[in-house]
Amino acid sequence: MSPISGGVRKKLINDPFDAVDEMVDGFVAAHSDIVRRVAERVVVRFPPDRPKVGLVIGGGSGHEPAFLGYVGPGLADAAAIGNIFAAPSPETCLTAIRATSTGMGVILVYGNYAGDRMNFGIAAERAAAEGIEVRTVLVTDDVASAPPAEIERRRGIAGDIVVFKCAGAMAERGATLDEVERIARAANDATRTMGVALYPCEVPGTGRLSFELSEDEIEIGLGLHGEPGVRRGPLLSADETAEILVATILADLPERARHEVAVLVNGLGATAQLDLYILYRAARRALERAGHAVSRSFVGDYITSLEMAGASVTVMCLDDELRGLLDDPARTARSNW
Amino acid sequence: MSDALRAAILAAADAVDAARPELGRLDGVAGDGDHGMTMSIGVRNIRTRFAAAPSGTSTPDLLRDVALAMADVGGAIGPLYSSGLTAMAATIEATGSARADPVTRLLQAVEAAELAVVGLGHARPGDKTLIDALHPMVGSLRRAEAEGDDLLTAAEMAATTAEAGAASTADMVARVGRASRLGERSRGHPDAGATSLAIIVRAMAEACRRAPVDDEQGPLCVS
Repeated sequence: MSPISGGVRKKLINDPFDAVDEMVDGFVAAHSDIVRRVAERVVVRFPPDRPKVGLVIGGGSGHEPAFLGYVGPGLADAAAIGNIFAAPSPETCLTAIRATSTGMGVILVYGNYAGDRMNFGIAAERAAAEGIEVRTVLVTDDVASAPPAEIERRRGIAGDIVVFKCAGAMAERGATLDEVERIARAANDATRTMGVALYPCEVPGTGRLSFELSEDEIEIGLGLHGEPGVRRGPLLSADETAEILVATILADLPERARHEVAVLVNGLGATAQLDLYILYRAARRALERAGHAVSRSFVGDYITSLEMAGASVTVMCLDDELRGLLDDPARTARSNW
Repeated sequence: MSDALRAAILAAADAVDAARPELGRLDGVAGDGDHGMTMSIGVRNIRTRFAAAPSGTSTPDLLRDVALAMADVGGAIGPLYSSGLTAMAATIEATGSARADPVTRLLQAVEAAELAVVGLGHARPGDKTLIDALHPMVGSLRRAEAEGDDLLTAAEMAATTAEAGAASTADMVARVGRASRLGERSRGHPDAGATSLAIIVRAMAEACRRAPVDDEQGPLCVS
């Protein structure tokens, strides 16, 4: 009997209950020049040659290359890995914290979800009790998930990546825990994301799609786990979609002055690179028309939602400091920095 | 002796597995659709731990085993169950020497669980979470205690109340947790976490009824 019978999507997996562990097995074997595994669900970089602030990232699985693909010199020191779309356990988070502590403190940067806050929060308390100084910065870039007045309730989606990058670069430079925390907060404050979904994904073992969307519909603002978005509507062209996403982001930015920005167009797993570059082209034009200068760009599958189809546009307002941190070298499995 | 409790928990584990598709469907309406699978991973962890726990393991130790098994799951549900079960274990341990009425001891344990879960998750009744099954259940046990019901009657009422509480979440709008992003669109379907809790309590109450009559403390309340 096939263990994946009952599923609605064709998948190249074995037993759904083994999917995460087998993925991590494959990942650490493939990237053994960059990472090593210190626990079942914890991947760390090779030890730095001098003490530094530890950066721990993490979250549920199913978002690959996030989160373990961002572990390496210049970026995260460890990733805590959860079950599919479920936060890692306190024990996993604590192991990641201990493994990255070199005496300068550890910063936890992760998307703002109830489960992640509870598990990382419990781990942070236990680490503090062991004498490790721990700080936490939640990524809250998803404009669709709460109004500006409740910005602290927003969830973290593709903006995770640029926040991780800036915090990781700052830590790599040898900055103090205070400085790394300041940068992580500044990077998050400067970042906004809006996404669009075209097709759902199937969490292995559930035998069902994560949501339903008819052939001629899209959903704007859909979450990274298929959480329903703000608005469902007819399928639009790439140009029209980009206009909506960028307009929503720009309306949400605190100040409307001319900005230098970085743009990240992220694919959710099953959207062609061709589509992503067309979307990027349109997003860039919309930003430039609004008087913004796009000085750094990232296009690709940076944080996915299994085989969901769709994409998001992330805009990060840059200053010299954040630009410099984005430009710093990093060597991770997801390596095109 | 808590072998009857072990049997009740394993019965609940089977019920959770059987409900996996439905729990995933409910969670998919408002959340990320992983609840059925996440609970199934939890009950697999429980079976593994129970297989290693000798017969006669005390109730607090069994509950702590379940708490650890659920903590390993992660997500939001893992820490919530873990904290609730840990509080139950501590309460039962603290009242273990007292010859208290089994319904009183069950009530105290479930009250402690609610306090711990609310302390961690900050949900209130009406927020469309598992609290909407747990909170009325505490009230039902309190009434059962006041009326001097026996454990089987109290457990049966607790299950019925939890089911009604879970069903009532269909009319609620989510205010906390991942489903809260949905606002009005969360209305019309019961909360997955409240539903799975009701399924667990029902399965345990039924196991309680099937338990040998000479186990006078019943499976839910033993030292």
